[in-house]
Amino acid sequence: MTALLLIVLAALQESPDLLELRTVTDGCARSGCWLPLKVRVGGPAGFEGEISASSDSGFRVTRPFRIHGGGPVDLLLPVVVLAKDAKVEVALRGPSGVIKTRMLTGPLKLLDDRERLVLVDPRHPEYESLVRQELALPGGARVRCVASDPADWNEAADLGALEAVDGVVASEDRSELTMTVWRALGGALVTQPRRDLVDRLAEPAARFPSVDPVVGRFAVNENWIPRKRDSTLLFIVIYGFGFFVAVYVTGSRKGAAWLVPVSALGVSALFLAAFAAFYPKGNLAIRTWQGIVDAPEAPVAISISALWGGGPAGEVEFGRILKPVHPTALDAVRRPLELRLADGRWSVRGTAPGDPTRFVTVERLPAVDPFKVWVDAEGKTRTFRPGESDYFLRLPRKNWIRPQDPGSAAAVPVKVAGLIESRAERAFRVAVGQ
Amino acid sequence: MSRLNVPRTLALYLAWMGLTCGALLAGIGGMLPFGLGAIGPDAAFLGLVEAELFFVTVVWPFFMPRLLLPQATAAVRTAGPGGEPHLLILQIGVMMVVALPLALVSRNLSEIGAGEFLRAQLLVGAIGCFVTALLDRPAGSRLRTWYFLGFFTVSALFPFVGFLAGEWGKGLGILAAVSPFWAAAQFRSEAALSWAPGVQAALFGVLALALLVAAPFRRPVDSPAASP
Repeated sequence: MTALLLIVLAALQESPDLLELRTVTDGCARSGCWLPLKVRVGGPAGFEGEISASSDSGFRVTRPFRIHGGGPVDLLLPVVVLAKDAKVEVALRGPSGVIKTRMLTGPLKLLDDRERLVLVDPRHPEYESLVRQELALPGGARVRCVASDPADWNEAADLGALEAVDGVVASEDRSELTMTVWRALGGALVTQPRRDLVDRLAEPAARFPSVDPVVGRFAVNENWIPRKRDSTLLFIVIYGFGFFVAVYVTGSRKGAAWLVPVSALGVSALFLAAFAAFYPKGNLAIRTWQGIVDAPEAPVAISISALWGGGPAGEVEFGRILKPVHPTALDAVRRPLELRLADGRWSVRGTAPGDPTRFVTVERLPAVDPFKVWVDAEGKTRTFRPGESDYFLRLPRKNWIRPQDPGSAAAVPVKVAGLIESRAERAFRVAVGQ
Repeated sequence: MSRLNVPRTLALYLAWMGLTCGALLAGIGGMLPFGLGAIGPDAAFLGLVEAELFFVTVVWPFFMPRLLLPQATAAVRTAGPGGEPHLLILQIGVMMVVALPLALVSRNLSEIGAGEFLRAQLLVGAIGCFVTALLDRPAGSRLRTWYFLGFFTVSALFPFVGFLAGEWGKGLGILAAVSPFWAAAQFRSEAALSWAPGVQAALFGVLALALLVAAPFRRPVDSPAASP
C-alpha cells in the first residue's frame, strides 16, 4: 500500500504543472501595453511543451520550452491587457493538448497615462522608503514604486515587455543590467533614486499601445507590388519581342512551314524555363514607416510595418521586439493572432495581407550614419505633413524630428515565405538628448 | 505542315501574341506616360483568358480560310468539311502552348489553383476547336455571317437579357452563364457559377468532336475527290 502510494505520488510529481504565475510589475499594468508574466513550470526532465497567455487584447502569446532537467523552469511570458477587469489566462500545453490552465490572481492595477511606474530592487537600501512613500513629480504625476526581481528585467526589456515601466531602481551591484533598447526609448535605470529619479521621469518612456488610431494612417493604397509589376511587364515585353524575332527570322527560311511552328514552340519553352528560374513567384510585400532614434544609449529603429499583397501568409518571423497594433479595438479582435516567442525572437501566425494589423518592431542598430537632409531631384528640401511623424512624438527627450531618404532606412528583420519586397515608405530621424 | 500557308501562319502567330501580350500590358499599365492600369493582379489571369477567347471566336475565323495552301484545300474541297481541320486544330494547340508562359505568369499573379487554371484553358481550347470544326468547310465564308450572329447572341444578348431580367426582379441571371466570356469569369472555385467553364468546355468539346466525326458522312458519295 505504501509502495503504491509512493508510486502515485511520484507519478503526480512527474506530470507537468504550472507551479507559479506572477507579474514582474507586482500587478501594475497599462492598457494596451505588455504585462510581463513570470511562469514557473514543473515537469519531468526532457518534457517539451509550450505555455500561452491570453487576455482581452485579441491575440495569444505562446512560448515553447523544454525542461532539460534539475527542477522547474522559469519563463517570461508577456501578455497585453486592455480593460481593468481583464482576465489573464495561462495554459500549459503538451504533445497531447492542454494540460493545465491557470488564471492570474488578484486585480490588475491599471495605471493611467500620467502615472509613472518604477520597479525597485528589494535589495536596494532605499527600497522600503520608495515603495511606502507617496511620490509625485513636480507636475503632479504620481510615481508608483513596486517591488520587482531584477533578474527578470534584462530579458523583459530585451523582449520589449517593459514598455509599461518608466524606470527601474537597481542596487549598485547589478552591473549586469543592460536594457539598452529600453533605455534608448526613455526608460530610466538609476541606482541613486534621490538624486536621479525625479529628473529622469520627467517624460514617460515610449510605449506602443496595442490599440492606437494613429496607425490607421499607415496604409498601403496600391494594388501592385512594384517589383512584381516591373518583373511582369519586363517578362511580357521580352517574350513578345523574342517571339516576334524568332518566328519572323524563321519565316523567311527554307522549310519555313515546319520552322515557324517549331521556333514558336521553342521560344515558348525557353520562356517557360525563364519563368521557372527568374520570375519572382511570391505575392507578399512589407511596407514600413520608420523612425531612427539617435539615442545616446544606442541608435534604435522603430518600424511600423504593414503586410500587403495577396495570398495566404504563413508564419511571419520578426526580430527581438514586436508589438501588433490595431487602429481600433474591433480590429484587434477581428482575427485571432498568435504571437510565438522562441529563442528570443518573435513570429506571428494568423495574419493575412491587407489586415489592419500593423507590426511595431524595435531593433538596435550597430551604428547610424550622420543625418543628411532629404532633397528632391531639384535639390529642394523635402518636407512632410505634420501628421506623418505623429507616431514618433511619443519618444521622450527628443530634440527634433526630420524626414530622411527612405532608401536609407534600416532593414526590418521580417521573414515570410513568398516575400518579394520590403520597402520603407517614410523614414524619420529623431534626435534625442540625454 | 508543308500544307501550311507560311505568311498567313506567321501573321496568325504574331496576331495571337500581339493580342495576348497587348491585353496584359495595357491592363497592367505603367508602360504609358500616364501609367494607366485597368486591372489588379487578381484580374490578370481573367484578362488573358478573355483576350484568348476573343481571339479564337472573332479573329481566328478570319485566319482560317487561307491558313492552308490553296492546292491543299483544293484537294479536299469536294471532300467536304473535315478535310483538313486537324491541321487547324493543331494550330490552336500551338497557340495555346505559345501563350503558356503568359498564362503561367498571370496565374501566379492572380494566385489561381491548378484546377481552375486547367478549366479556363480547356474552355479556350474547346471553343477554338469548335469554331474550327464549324467553319472549316467550303461554305465557310457564307456560314461565317450566321456564325457571328450566333456568337453575338450567345456572348452578349443572353447576358444582357439576364441583366434586364434581374433589374425587373426575375431571377434569370443564370442566362449569363451561356456566354463564354461570362463563363470564363467564373473559373474560380468560390464563384457563384463555378460550374459554367467546365460545362461549357465539355459542351463545346463534344460539339467539336461531333462535327469532326460527322463530317466524312456528309461528303458527297460520288464526288470526284479521288481524282487529283
